[in-house]
Amino acid sequence: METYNIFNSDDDIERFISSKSDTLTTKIFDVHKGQSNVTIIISVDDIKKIAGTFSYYSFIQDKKERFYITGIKNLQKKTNFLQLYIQHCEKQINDEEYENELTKHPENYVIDIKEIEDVNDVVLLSKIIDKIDVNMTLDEASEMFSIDTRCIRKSFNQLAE
Amino acid sequence: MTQVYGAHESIESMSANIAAKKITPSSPQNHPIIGLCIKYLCSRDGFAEITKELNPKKAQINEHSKINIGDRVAANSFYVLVKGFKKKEIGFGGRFSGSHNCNCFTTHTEYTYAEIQVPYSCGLKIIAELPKNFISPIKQLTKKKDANI
Repeated sequence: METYNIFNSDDDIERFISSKSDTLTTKIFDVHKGQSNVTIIISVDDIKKIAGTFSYYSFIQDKKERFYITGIKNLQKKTNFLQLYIQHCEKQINDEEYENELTKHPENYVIDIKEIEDVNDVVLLSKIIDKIDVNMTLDEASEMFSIDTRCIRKSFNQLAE
Repeated sequence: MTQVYGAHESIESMSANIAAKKITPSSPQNHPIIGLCIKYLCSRDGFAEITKELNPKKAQINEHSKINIGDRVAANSFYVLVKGFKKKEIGFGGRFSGSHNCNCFTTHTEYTYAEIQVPYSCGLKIIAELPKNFISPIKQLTKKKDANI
């Protein structure tokens, strides 16, 4: 028995509650999943609690997705740089062409290192790295997820306090 | 002239000598402080030594960085950020240890930052085995001298 209610904002939650509840504190919802019909009884107070959890969950999922996309983009940039470097080493392009390519098309090669938005992002990052199951040094993680090493260190210190 | 071995210890300079058994360019980066730079990974033992100090002499990335001429970081693995996209010629650096040679490169008039990733394992073992209330013998001697005075 599973239900899927994902809310993107608090307004969505309020709209959902107001549409489903009139003056009653308890409401019966019919959930249709495939061919089987399941009836769930939830009180309105419970819905508010669950809705809050769902909205936080979707917020975390969004953040995770952003980190994954950044990681993939940065790996792509590293590959591009490696190809350019090999071309230069093989003398297919000269020094000038090599530097010009890097300065004229930074979007293909240069990894932007940014400061961290939220201290708790570090916890999220450590969970992602755990899933990848590779030993990463601090600067490797910083390079992969575009986060400044100083910020990661500061956040860890703040969380430890 | 000081040499540092600890994790995340760093040097900052305008010019530096870098030597390690394995040096590989990693990626070009847009760093929030120094701007466009190229990152080099130096592994399998190596060091980075300051040959020219910063002007003005003030650390930019890490306030605890060593910035005097002759200061160096030595570690099992460290990374180097060199400002600008100019390609560095990584050449043969001669004998590094008893049976190993090393590679090396020099930065000229470009901001250079080197930070330790993985320190020497012997150093970590020593630190792990030291008791929490450990006072080095030199400090103990100086304390005794102060007490006698």
